[in-house]
Amino acid sequence: MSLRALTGIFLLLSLLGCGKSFKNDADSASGTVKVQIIAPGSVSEDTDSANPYAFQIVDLLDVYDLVSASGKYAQFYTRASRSETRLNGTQPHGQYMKNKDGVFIPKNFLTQQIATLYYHSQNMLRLETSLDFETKRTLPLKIVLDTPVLNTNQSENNAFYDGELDAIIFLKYSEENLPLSLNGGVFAHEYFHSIFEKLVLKALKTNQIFSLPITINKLIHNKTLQRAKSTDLSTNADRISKKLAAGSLSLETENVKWYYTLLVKGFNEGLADYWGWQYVHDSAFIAHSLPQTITTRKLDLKTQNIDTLQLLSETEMLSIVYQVSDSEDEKLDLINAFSYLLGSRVALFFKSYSEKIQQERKLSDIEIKKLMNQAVIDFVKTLAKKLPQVTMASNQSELISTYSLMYDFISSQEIKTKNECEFLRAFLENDSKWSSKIECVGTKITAKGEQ
Amino acid sequence: MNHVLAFSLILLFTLPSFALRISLFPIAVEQRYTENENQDLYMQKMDSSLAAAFSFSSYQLGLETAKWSYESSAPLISYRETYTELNSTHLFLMSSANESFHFYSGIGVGIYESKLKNSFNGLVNETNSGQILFASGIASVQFIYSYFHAALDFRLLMGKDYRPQPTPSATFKIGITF
Repeated sequence: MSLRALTGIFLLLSLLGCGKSFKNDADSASGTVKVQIIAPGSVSEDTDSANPYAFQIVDLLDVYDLVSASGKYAQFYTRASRSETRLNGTQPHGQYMKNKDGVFIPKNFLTQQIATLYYHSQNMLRLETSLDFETKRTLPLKIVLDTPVLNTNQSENNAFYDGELDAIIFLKYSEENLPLSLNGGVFAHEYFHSIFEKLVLKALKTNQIFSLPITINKLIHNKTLQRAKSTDLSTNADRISKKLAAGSLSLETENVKWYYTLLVKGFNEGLADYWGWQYVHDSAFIAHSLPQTITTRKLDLKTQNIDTLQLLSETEMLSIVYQVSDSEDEKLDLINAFSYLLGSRVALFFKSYSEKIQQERKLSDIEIKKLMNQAVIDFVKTLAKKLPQVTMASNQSELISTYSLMYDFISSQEIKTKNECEFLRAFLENDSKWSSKIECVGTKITAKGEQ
Repeated sequence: MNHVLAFSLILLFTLPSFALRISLFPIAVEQRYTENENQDLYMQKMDSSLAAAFSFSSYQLGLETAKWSYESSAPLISYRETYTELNSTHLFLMSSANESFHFYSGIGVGIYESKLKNSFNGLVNETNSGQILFASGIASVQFIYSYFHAALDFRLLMGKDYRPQPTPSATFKIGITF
């Protein structure tokens, strides 16, 4: 071999060796890292931001590896698959450009997603640890992107929490609006399902009454939801109520199970919607990604087709449960759809209550968030104690109603003003059990004439 | 810095008088085997490439410029990154099959600058990487006949933003030589 050839090979090898020094800035970024994400101003403390979603520069904390956006708070998977309860997948490879101010700018959509979701995970987990409860959570949070890892008919435009995998999953987004993975409210909603799973649903696993499949915590198809919303429950409810009272209709085991499935899923969805709302302070947060939900999921009375704050009554719930379906799948769809209807009303109550006490007590946004988040978590803890003790009901009066659960919540509240009391009283009076039977004495709700 | 620039300009303008042969390549096609955001490897064609070479007895100095871009998008969001490269290649004659066919190998050293334009819902954000050094290992097969010069280069490129590391590339150039 000639000297020239040897020199050439030497040059090439030295160059390849030097390749190691061509490291990207992101390769060595860890700890606290400044990145540009897309988020609402209310989330990143840029409260002056007029646009609900905009570019924001934020600090990602405790990052182990910026390229894959893995750290203390989150870990990402793409091309994911499941083997039983185990999640397998590839870690994404993010690409960033570091600007002169040391801020890492995502260079593509995948990188934008992982950086943004890491920030929301960090916020959710830090919020969670600031509250008084045992989270039973394993860190980091697992997040799956663009991969259907579940046996579900829907392969796109959806996000859900999978309790078995303990992962938040974002399917491919094909609409023309804000991608679900960048929607902070949707992330907070799914995140709440993980809290509810760990505290409530796990505690219910041994109770046969809750043995019906509670479908994956996912966003539901809007048409199904619209149909549920336009169903006139009152006529049906009266009929069912009369039949049950006359004894011509009995509570069957399966229907009691469906009743409680609807109840639990309704509260799970409702509290998750509240969690989403409190995070982004936006009553139509889902509509940024799925505009059609503006007619069903927006948290206001008009959208929910009600004049006053109310839930579904026992008989309305039973009228849903007693609707005839051809198959278990169809019944599951029906119960699922109505659980979102109940959920929106639960969320609307918590949102309105939050606004009421903020106004009455003149609390800052941070103060009210902390107060209400703790109140919601305490309520979830109450559900986790109460629901596993549910036994099979043989008549309607033995069923736990939505209002009785809310009564537990209201009883635990330290009511500070007369207006707060009147607000809660008016809400409870929507239930026939309390209608015209309670009053506010000072700041206390009592039975009429009890004084 | 000004001294370096002045020296480079002097070198550039005096080189032709020292070179045995000057080649200009108005047609240069480059393909790179690069990685996209999903970590899939694919062939990326450079948008434009221009090259010139100054051949001495057993050394060839090449000057090249290339431009290419990468795009990524989702609803309401788009990213476009444009790279501009200025490269110098230093090739050494390894062997010649005959008077027309030559085999070179060597290295390349250059600078690139990338501009990232990302937009979201009408808001536009632009970031510039500044000038960044990159290097390459090169093997080149060249055919020279009369005024005709063709070269096929195989390269392994290394730059801190290039993925994979190194990035394989193939460049085919056709030009005139005198």
